[in-house]
Amino acid sequence: MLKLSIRTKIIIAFFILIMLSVSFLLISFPSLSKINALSFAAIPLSREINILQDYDEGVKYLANKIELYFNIRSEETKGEVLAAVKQVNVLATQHKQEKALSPLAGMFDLVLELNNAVVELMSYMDKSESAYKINLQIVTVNKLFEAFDQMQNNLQEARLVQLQKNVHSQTEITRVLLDKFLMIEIFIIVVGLLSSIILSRIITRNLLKLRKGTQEIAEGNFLARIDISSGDEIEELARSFNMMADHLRKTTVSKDYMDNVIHTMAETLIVVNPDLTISSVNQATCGLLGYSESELIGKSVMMLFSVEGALMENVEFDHLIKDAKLMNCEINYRAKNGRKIPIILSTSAMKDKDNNTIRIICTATDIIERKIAEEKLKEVAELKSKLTSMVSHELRTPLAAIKTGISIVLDGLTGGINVEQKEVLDIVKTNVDRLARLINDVLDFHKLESKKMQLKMDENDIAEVIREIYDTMNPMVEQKGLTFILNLSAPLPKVIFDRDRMIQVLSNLVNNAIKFTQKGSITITAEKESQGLHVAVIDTGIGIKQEDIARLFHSFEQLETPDNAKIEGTGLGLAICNEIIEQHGGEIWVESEIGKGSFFHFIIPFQR
Amino acid sequence: MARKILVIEDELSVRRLVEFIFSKNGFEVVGAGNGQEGLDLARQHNPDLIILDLRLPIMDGVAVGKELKGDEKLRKIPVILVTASTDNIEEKVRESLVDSYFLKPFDYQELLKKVEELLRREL
Repeated sequence: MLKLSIRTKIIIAFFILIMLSVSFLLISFPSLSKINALSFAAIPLSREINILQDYDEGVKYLANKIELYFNIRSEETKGEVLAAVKQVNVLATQHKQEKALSPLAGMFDLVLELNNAVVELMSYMDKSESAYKINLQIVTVNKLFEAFDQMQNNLQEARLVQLQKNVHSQTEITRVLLDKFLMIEIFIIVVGLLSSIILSRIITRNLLKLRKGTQEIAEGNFLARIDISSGDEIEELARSFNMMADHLRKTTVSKDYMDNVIHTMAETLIVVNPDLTISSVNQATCGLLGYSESELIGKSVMMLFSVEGALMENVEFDHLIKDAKLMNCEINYRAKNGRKIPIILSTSAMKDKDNNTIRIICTATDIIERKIAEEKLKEVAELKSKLTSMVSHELRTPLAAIKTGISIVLDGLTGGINVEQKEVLDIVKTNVDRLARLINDVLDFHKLESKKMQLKMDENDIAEVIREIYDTMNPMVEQKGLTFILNLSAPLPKVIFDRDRMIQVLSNLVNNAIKFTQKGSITITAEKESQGLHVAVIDTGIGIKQEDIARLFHSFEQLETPDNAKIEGTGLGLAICNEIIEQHGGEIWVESEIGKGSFFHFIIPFQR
Repeated sequence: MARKILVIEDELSVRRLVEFIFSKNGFEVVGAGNGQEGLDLARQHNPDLIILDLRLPIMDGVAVGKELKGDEKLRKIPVILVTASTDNIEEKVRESLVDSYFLKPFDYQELLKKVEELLRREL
């Protein structure tokens, strides 16, 4: 294939056609000039024939006049003869001088001679010469007439034959020329047609290739290549397209790649038109909902959602989708088989230049696993709750029998017991009481933690509660050789709290203080502050290490004394205090210094 | 005449001990193992005081308490509810209309004190 530009190819095709036309002209030129020459040659012949005919007429006219004169001898007829003679004479003399008419010179001479003979005859008759002489002259004239007649005929015949030949040649040449013209014309048409077909095929074939390639690129296959080596503008165009595809491949994520990402993602992705019909879905959507892609496209996206029971039951959900502002919204899909699938749905809008929404993208994550886990967790919590109350009940009943039984024996209702028996039974009783407290603590903490404990909120006097604690616990404090001090700034306003729970908090704190203090005092202070009543239980005990303070209020955390002595307790006391104060809307905290003592503070807020 | 106490308690060991305590303290004691039996015995013996367990077969303590307090003849008899379960105890005490309640395990001397107090109130 010629590596030429389209322009060059077209120019060459035109050039070939022009050359063919020119060659046709060149070929036909000699024939045309021959025809031309023949035409020119015919002109003098025609003129000579005309002249010959003129002379023929003139001479015949003269002969008539002479005959008339012989019949009617009058001056008039005589004049007519002489006028005719003169006319022919003038013409012949004039023609004789024109060189072009030289082939007729002999005839002119003959006409002049005839004239002279007629003039001589006329003079013989005027002079009334002898009849012999006149007759002789008449014979001469007659002979001359005959000679002219013959000469004229010969000359005219010769010219007519020549003219005929001329016309014949012209006809022949024209015919040949026409044949040639027809053949060449057909040749030009055929060559023209063939070249235009070949040329257009070369161009269109490459154009089709180009179109196919560009379509592929347009569809996002940036790996497509257009292979054209025609050496023309189309090849240049193909090269540009290849470069463009290369550039696009490097700078843009290809369609295939995006399709792969969309179809392999675990989240469902639904592209929705502004009228809420589905434009496209990914494989995860089909897999989760049990529909095929074709069953979904064009349908309303609303059929995929189950709104009943969702948080947004009363809201027009289609508006929420249209607004495309949902973010991590918990809702249910409705699968093809009617099953509800809990999901977290987010929507976003795809906008055009003019900020019109053209598509809404709905992505959702299936949270069925999470929901199941949540259900399980709820079940576990319920089980724990049931177990706790069941266990506590089942423990309390035998404990009640044990405690009552021991008390009965200890108190001598069953008869007297000795000192050793009493000592053993006292130990048993202490431990039964401890077990009972432990069960109570566990139960209280469980109730508080699971918010099942209902606080009896009434207006109470904290000073009165503190005095009651003092009265109840002072014996224990004194027993350990400590001083119990109350420091209540009067007057303290009444505040709303649960009296029994507050007693529980204070007795827990005082109990702890007694446990961890060997000498010195335990002080309870109470004062009014801006946000509530500030109560503190202060001891001069062993103190708490800074690193232990953080976990002090955690459940089942029990601190050890410096000498590693075990302290009786469940490790729930402070956790219970923390829960009670928190449920009052207050705050509990501790300050402590090793070897100097601890400050347990809490606030009972004025308003809750 | 000895004061009569009805103990309605399905747990035999507990009932036995409670009966023992009261009889040692000069009471005449009648025992019942379920709510229905307790109600029948209450109507039959017209006791001075009733010790009532909360969890009982056939009829629970709340139902028995309501029945007793709704009965024209029995409504004045003081009732002490005894229970090992602390679930909604305040609510159940209110609902059963009993006069007092004790959580198991209880101090029997406290219970005796409460019984004496209620009986004094009756006199």
